[in-house]
Amino acid sequence: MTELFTTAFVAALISGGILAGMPLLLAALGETVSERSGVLNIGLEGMMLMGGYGGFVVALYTNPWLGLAGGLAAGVLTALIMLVFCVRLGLDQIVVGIALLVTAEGITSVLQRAQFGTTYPRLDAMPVFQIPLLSKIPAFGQSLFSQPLIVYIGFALVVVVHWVLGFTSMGLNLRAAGEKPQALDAAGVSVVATRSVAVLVTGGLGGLGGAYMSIVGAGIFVPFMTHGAGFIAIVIAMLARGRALWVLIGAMLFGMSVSLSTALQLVGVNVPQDVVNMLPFVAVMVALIVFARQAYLPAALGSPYTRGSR
Amino acid sequence: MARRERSTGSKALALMLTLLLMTVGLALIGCGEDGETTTTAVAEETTESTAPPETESTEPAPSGITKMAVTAPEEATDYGWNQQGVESAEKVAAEIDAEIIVQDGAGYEDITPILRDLAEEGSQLTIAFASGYGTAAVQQAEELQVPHVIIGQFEQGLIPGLAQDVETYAQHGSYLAGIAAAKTSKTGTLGIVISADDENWIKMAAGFALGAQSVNPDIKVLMAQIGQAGYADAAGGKRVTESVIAGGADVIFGMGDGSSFGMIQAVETATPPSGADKVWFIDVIGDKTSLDKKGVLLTSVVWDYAPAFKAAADALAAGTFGNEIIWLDIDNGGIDLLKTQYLSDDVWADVETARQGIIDGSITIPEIQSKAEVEAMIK
Amino acid sequence: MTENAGTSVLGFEPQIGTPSRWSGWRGSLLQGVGPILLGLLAGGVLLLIVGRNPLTFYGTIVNRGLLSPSGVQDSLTRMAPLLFMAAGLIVAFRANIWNIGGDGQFLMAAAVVSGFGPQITGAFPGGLGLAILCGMAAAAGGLWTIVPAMLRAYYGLNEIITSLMMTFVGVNLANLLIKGPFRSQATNVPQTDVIPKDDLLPVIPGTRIHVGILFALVAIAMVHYVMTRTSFGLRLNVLGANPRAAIHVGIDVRRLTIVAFMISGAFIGLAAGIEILGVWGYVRADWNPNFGLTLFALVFLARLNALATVPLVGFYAVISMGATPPPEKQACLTISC
Repeated sequence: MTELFTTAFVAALISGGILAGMPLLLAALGETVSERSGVLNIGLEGMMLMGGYGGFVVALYTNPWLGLAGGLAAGVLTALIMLVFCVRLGLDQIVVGIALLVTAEGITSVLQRAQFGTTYPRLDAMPVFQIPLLSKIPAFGQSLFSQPLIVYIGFALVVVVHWVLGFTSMGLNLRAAGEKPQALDAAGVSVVATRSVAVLVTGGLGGLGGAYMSIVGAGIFVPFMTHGAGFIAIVIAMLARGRALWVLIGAMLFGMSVSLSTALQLVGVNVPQDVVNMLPFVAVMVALIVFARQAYLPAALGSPYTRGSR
Repeated sequence: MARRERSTGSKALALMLTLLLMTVGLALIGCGEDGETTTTAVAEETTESTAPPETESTEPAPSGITKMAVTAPEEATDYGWNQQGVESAEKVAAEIDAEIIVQDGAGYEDITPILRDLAEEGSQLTIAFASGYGTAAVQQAEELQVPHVIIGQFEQGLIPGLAQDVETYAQHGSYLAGIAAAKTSKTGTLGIVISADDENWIKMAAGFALGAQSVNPDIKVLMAQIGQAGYADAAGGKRVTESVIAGGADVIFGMGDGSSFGMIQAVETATPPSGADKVWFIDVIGDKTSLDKKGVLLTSVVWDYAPAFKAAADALAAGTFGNEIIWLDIDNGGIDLLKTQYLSDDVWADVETARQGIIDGSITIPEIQSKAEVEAMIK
Repeated sequence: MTENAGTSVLGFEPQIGTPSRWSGWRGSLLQGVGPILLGLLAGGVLLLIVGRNPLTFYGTIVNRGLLSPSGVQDSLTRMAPLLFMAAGLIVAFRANIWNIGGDGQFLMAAAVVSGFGPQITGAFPGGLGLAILCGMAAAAGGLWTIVPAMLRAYYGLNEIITSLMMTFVGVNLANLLIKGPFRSQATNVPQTDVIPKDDLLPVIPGTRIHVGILFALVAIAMVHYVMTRTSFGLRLNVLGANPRAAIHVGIDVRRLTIVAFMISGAFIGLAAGIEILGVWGYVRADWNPNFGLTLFALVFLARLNALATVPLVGFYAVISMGATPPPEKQACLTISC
């Protein structure tokens, strides 16, 4: 069965890993920003669903690029609810997040069934952007450097988030809002405004991740298609402990392991799917038990900020 | 302190808003699945039941059934399992001149309450159209003393007068699909993509591989599964299908629900493997021709439960209900291969020959239910 | 808010006697009923947009879930596992433990109960067999929390993430058990052997509702009593409100954290036990009712007051029985991208 491993096949596996990992990457990056600022966004999956649906509709009637923008906008709009409830009104973030998820599941499945329930329209493939020289590299070139432009944008966002969080005053404010909101407040910067920005960024990235899934990943929106990806993204973001580069590693490892399980099946290695699904989490749990390191989280994560209250 | 009080007030307000949000969500989730029960009077039915009556047209069977019911897990607009079951039931109801209650979108939770409802609404023959409903439906048939049609329980699904099991020779249809695929493939590699651990999918995968091997013993067959329950995972369907195509397959036999659309999208947009100029898709259960805008649907293994449901209704009238399993097979029209414009005449001729062989028993196709066995077979 | 790190990641203030115009039973009622009405209204608008008659739709739900005699019995039956689960969540949340891994605990317990169910109900007469199985369910649910509980207690590791990961593991492991060692040879469908109907929980005479709902109400009452009237409940509340204060007043925070976490898991395990022994008698592979997340919000909206969860859970039960449950939702938390 070794003859199966042609260039095209290896390329497809790497592409598959990117396809599976990219929504996780985008969403987990968003979650990272939000967690750094002290807002735990459990409703990420809901924002992905809204983005996936909104993006698909826009893409269907216009073009994929507007579609991705539409997905981003849908995510931001969903995050607006979170902003009002959690940041402005200081309501519990987990509960609002879950309510958002439930609502998003309901709304998207109702709308999808009403609009596309009997026609199931599908999109064309996103045009591929070949990076001139790099795409000629044997084995990897075809897959890594011959992707829709949005994939490179996704990778670039890792650098952007890394830079913003680490090297800008905005990033400093964000981290302060997560660590010591009182200090930020005392310095004359609005905690609420800072966190609002973070929540909207999360919504945008989550929505973009969902839109990637429906527009590039599947070419169609079907109800519940995110399939737990939002929760996996939350896990990745938490394990990455706020570092964008680790988010990249985590998301891509996850995507690649999913893709690898397909490869194993194709060469005839029969591992039960349940085991494949379970393994990444078992590995992480074992690592946590063995090393028992304090998974770092911002001190004020999850607590609404009310000026003057202690 | 004043500030503190304000924040508590707004907290209460916000709690209210959350509950509001949740209510919307809960209500809509229910709605997305459509709780509506539709009762259709036969007179208004204009299904294809007006098709030419079969040659051995029985007398308008006075089955004694005036009201029957069908329940399926998802909405009957999926061009697949649910639509097939519901339409077949409607067709049979029209044939025997009975009223029918359709409860689709019933979900995968405990089906008992719905079966009871249907009995209370007067159903004299309820079709519980999912293998997952089997255990509960057999229990309810006994408890309610209402005849039920059961799917996929074999002997466990038989109670004389009360429970009538229906099974399919699904592998016979996919055997024909395997022949068509092997004849059509230019690369000599075929792909099978399944969405979940599902006995029917595996049975059909085996039949497909055997059919392909009957044409060309050296043909390569690649099989991959999306997930343990990836029925709705459209992105996963596309990803896995793309890998299989990259592995050289130019005909994809895809079995899924929502995920099927991801597979079709992959087929529509894929770069054909070297040696082929396009990639074909073979579907199962339903007929998605009307959705096939790009012309990639080579054929489909179509199922038709109408003959089986009709046989069940007749058995009820004859007093033989639940005595032995009713099979969907090629002979009674329960399983067939869809003739599309893309199947060339000589391919279709081979399919016809094999169909006759299956009917007269000269071709036998084993029923294989373990994925490991299928994998060993295609190695 | 306090700035204590690590252990109290999500500061939660128990709402004890907050002075506001919302206090009092009238306020509570308004808070409970008002949003539901508004929510139904908003849902109705969306239904109109997609061309459905909201009145017909809601009418069906109410009819099916509440007004018809069999509907109300089905809703009450559905409430039993939900109330047990609510009890479990309240115990954890009161102690500021965010056990969001309920679905994993639920399914592990369900797999264990239905896997051993047929033998045990066969070997022990009636009530004893059921009691043993309930004990096993509680143990399975409780033990499934032990890793997150220890990690939180000893290393301050955030339990949101660990219990979430344990859910992914639990859901898949339960499936492996159901498809592997517990798989029934009698049927083609991957599921466990069926416990005979006569060996399941008896029904309340004159109805079809199994007695699980009574146990569930007792459990809720017990939790309410323990939380409001006993020193154990007080310690949990103190731990939840302020872990530092808890240390100061001499509470063994580690022990209490682990105990509360395991009690929470045990109640959730019992929820599964009651559902299997009352309704199903077996478990199908890939079955996951996903009660956890929804209940999470309901329990919070009841302000962690055990008694207040009863009407809210009832409301949810009516909706979920009246509108048929969402199919793909069962696959929602299992991962297979």
